[in-house]
Amino acid sequence: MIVKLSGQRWIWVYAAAVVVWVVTVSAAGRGLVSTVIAAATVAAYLAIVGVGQMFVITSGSGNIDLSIAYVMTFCGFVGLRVMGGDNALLVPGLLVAAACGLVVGLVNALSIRLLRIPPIVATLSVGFVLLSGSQVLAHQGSFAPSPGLAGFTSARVLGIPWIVLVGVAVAGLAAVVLHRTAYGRRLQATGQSEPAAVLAGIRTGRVGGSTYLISGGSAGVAGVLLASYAGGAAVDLATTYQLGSIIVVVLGGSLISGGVSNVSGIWGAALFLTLLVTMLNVLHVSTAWQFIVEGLLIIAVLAAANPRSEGTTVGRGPRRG
Amino acid sequence: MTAPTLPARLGVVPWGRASQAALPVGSLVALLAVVLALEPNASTYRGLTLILSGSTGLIFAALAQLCLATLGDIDLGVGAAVGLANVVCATWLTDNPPLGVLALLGIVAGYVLLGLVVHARQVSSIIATLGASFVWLGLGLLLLPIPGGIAPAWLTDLFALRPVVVPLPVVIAAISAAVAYFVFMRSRFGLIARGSGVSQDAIRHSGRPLIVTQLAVYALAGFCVVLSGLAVTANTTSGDVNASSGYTLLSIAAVVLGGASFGGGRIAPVGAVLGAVSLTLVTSLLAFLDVSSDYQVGAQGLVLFLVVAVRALSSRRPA
Repeated sequence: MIVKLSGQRWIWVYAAAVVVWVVTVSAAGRGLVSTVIAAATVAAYLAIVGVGQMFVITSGSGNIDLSIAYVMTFCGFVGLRVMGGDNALLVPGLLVAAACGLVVGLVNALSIRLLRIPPIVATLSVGFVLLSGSQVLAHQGSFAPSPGLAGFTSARVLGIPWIVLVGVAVAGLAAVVLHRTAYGRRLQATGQSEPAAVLAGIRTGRVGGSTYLISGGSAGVAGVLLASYAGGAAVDLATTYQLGSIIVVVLGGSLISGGVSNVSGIWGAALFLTLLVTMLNVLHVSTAWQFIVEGLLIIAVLAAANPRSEGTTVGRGPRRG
Repeated sequence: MTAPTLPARLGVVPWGRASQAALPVGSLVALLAVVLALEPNASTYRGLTLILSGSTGLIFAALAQLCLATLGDIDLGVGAAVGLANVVCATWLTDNPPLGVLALLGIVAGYVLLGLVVHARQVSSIIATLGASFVWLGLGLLLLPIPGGIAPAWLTDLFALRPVVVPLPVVIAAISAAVAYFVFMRSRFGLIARGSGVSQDAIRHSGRPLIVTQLAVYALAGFCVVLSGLAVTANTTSGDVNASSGYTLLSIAAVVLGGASFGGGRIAPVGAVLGAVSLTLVTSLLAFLDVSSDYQVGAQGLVLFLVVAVRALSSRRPA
């Protein structure tokens, strides 16, 4: 029954994306294919971090990663700084950004598991420390991305941007890990019922904690890619991803209370959100109204689509035995 | 893996109360001592008024956050909502008072709607309030695209009152702590609200209309947001929708520092007010120490992190 319900939800979000796409194209009067390719290019970053957020949310017990946007910006700065506009340092830059994201993920996981800080407080406060770091780096000058990586983020193969293929590959890999590996099964079991998972012999602490590493690492890589695509890092580089990464997970059909996740829905929701912004821009809607429409739409869609009772309490850290 | 029993989670154990009070009171005293050591002038009536003038807005924002924490919810849009109230106060409330009052009541109504979405439609409060923060921000930008406007004269006059002996910010802190304590810890309404944060089923089985209580708590949160907006407007004498964006994190920090958990039911109204005052002192302290503004947000994050870690490690239950 759960499969049926969540299946319906992700089909709805693709349908909504198509509606927005049609409105945008008819308002602009052109660009049937180019609109969707441009949207997919931007949506790819959202899909990559959305997959990381999905792993965290799937583990249940109020787990959520509010540091993603700050990790992306910070790793964007750090990665670009290591590269220094030099192609020879492209790989080290990417690796350092990924490592930074993993370290933040580890800090998040340890604070939640060992210090028993509620996930929402732990990830938010870690995020604010990173924001300070980004502000300091921003005042030390701007750094150009390595030309190779900047080229890659806008390059295409057979008309499809590479970054879209990367985003689809990440989603595919996530689906395999989640549904075809023992780790994925353990993760879903933990999210569905932690006490039951413990009785089944699953080390729920490790499984839940590991998701923050996935989320941090993917945010780190996505951040340096996004900074390269944007031609440089800025303090507000990834601000919209704090809400965005959660919204794509929930709109995509995963349950915020954990245990049930849907990977294909994430891409649908990312396309929907990106096309929505494109549509509002094409219709010359002001930034203020864009905020209002996006906020209301997100609340309305969730209120309308909510198929079953979800946990409304937050911040319940891992329960101790 | 047994869940804590319900009475224990309502925080009725006497020693639990005592250890709960130690952290907010202790950190406030320690911070005051450091601030006074660095800046002896701060101990005067004028000095105390000056360094605490920013605390009033945060106190009310923290009480708004406390309302939602009572139900086990969290408000990730409180900073933007206070920003909107601030903008309304600096524009409509000055130019056209009836319209301004109506708009402020609109914010309270907005919170009731938010409560309806969260509790009647069972949408996660994290997402509903994050979504609402975009709405508040958009409305604030529509009203005042760039910082500006001017505070109503009566409001600036009100906050310029200088009561005898005790400075105004301290008076406001004491009154709001007392009112919040009686509303949440001593009244029937507060008991039901806290009870519904622990076990919705228990309240439902008692035959009380649960949703009415929940919506009333959200309305109270909206009212606190409006009070916070008024205080911010009086303090800055102008409007800026982004001026209070830091309140989202700081209000959560104040509530947690005060001794509440976001699991629902366990709250500490007086602690939250003390927490808000302490966090204002942290900001003053950073300014006294000439810490670059780049590091301020990080320092606040670090303080929140340490406070929650200390609390979690010193108590037997998760924070």
